[in-house]
Amino acid sequence: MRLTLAFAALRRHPMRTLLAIFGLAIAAALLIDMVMLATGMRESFRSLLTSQGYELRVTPRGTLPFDTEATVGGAAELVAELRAHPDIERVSPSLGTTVQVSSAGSSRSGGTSAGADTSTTSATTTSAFALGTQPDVQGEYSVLTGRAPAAGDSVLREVIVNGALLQKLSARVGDTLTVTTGRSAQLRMSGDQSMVIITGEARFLYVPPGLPAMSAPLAAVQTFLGDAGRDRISLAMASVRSAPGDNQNNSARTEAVREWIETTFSRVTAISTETAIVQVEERLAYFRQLAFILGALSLVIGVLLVTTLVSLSVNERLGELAVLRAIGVARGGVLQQIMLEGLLLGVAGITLGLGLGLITAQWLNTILRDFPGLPADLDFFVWSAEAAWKSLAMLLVASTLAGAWPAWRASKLRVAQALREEAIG
Amino acid sequence: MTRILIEASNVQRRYRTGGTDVHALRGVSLRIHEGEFVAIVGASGSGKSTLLHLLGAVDAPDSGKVLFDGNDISGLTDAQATLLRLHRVGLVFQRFYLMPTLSALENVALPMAEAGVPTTERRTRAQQLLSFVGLGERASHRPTQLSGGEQQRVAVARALANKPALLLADEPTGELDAATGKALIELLQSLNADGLTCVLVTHDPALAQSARRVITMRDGQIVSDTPVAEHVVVPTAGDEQTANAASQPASQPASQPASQPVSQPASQSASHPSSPQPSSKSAATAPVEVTRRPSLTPADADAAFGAKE
Ligand SMILES: Nc1ncnc2c1ncn2[C@@H]1O[C@H](COP(=O)(O)OP(=O)(O)OP(=O)(O)O)[C@@H](O)[C@H]1O
Ligand SMILES: [Mg+2]
Repeated sequence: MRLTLAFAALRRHPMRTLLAIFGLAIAAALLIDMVMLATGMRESFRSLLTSQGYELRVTPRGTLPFDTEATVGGAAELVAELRAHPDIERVSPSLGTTVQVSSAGSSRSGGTSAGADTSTTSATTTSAFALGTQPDVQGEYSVLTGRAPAAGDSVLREVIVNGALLQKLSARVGDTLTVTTGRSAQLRMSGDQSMVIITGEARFLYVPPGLPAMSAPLAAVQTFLGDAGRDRISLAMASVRSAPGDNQNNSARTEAVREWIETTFSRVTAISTETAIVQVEERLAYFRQLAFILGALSLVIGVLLVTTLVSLSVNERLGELAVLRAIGVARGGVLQQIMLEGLLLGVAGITLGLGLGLITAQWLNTILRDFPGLPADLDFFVWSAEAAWKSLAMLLVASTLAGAWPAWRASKLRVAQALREEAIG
Repeated sequence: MTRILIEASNVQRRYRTGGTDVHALRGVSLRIHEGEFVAIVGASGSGKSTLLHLLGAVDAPDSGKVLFDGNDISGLTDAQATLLRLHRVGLVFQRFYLMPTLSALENVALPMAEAGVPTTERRTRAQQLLSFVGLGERASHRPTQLSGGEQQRVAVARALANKPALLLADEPTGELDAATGKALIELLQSLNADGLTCVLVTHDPALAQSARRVITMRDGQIVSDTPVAEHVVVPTAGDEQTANAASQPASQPASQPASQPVSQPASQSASHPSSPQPSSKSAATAPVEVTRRPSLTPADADAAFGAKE
């Protein structure tokens, strides 16, 4: 009966109720999005950094964790020494640089399609991110088609490229490309040209999806760079031997290895992935704070909305409520009924808001992912069921409590007085 | 002599509004026995509604006592008073005050739901009550789909839901035309004939004559309390009854026996016609138990007054 009355009260002004539910849904959607945003970037970065299983990042001293321009020399020796350490399991050195790539028509091999595209006889050139890795230990890309490039100093070096590069050059797996190093395509300085063959297509974890990228064995990229790349790397990742389940000991060992690296090699810095994550989180702190403030605001808006609507509805029904009380409905009954109205609004608004929030989160995520210069696998909005339920439960409790104030006032109604006022008015 | 259902002794009610004291009731005493049909008349502002509210535990007096079935109800807690109203008192207002969003049936079932009557049982009884007031076919209609007289009948059915011992009606015909008002009074008369104690506030002296006892109030006091002679005929439709008719009893139909003028000295006597007249030809068709039998079980009293009593 209470539920019937509560439903009926909301149905009495359908437009008003719908608007309130819609407003509440927007507030709920905003809250969900903000919670997803606040936790999302952090979780996303964390999984990005931990997915490869390397605990330590060794970078040139005095550079920021994700600076790809700086390099450190004496790479072979450095890597060898790192590998010699008993607690270091694997080392993955890498060198990143920017190269010019062209699909010189004349160099097109295979002849499978040469006859078809006579229009591409003039070379298409694009700049691309070139990443030198050791394919057997690399954690930078995953192969989509074809295979990873093999080391070897044949004339035709092997590279694996991403979709963006294939698209830019309208190339395909098996084609040959010309790689030119140098600061700019216009100057064509250093002019060191190499012919490479595409062995496969890959998805690069840390490269924005729209940016053309290729990866070759480390030695190959070092030769692309000529003198500037000889025996240099920009990053080495190291994984530390660990005992499964023994987190305490593992992180202690990681820390010991990290200290050993820092003291042994003056030219590099080693930071643990954990520390890198903390650094990222610190950089994201403002973001998260903003998200929390906006989330809290939407909570407040939701509460105000419900309070306003329920108050309005109570005020215009004082006579009815007085009659209910007069014919024997207990104070608690009136209280329950009015709070039920708030709860129903909350449930409706939140249900709608959940859908709305997820849709907008997806939409915003695709927009933000296209933001230039961000890794492909970084998500801004990450659905965390726990966080979502918590925030929705919070909103539900809030909207129920928002109805409590008008409900309490209604239950305190002085029956005789209200009846009288109703009879007059 | 039947038992005393309600007894008020020297009841006072004051209202303080903006510095001025309104003395709505200045020491009212009265006794109403089980089975009586009492009309309270008097000028506007004389304290009729205030008195009715005190009798029905809707409001509490500032001083004096109200005994309901021998129990003092002037100091009940809100919860106790609510229970008393739910189980023992039926209230009918001038406006019909049905829940606009509920059907007639749901409106009648509402007090039963509050009293914890199981769903099927209360639906059955609500349907019976609606048939009793002549609206059996309109059970699913909303108040807005009913005429004023029909709405007021639903309100009466609702008041009867929990088989009250006392029916209080504050100007129940105030918004009805004469014929509809008359039919409603006939309904109340038939209920009274079945043993239900009724107290009716009205401005309409003709309607007052359909009661068996008329209490006249002036200025917060009872100025007369007189039995009405046997065989009452309610004025026929078309008679436009106005408030000033109260001072002109002669204007009433000749068939009516001389009604007692309001100037009669107040008498607290409980003398009243004790032989119930046969139920008038109201819409009463279905045999339905509408009144609580006067004798109460201890459990009833507990329910109504709470464990404290
Ligand atoms: N809540 C209140 N606050 C202030 N004064 C009140 C209040 N309730 C009643 N009164 C005053 O008490 C007096 C009696 O009021 P009451 O409503 O009982 O009169 P009534 O006889 O029912 O009048 P009517 O025939 O117009 O309904 C009036 O003077 C009224 O103004
Ligand atoms: Mg009144």
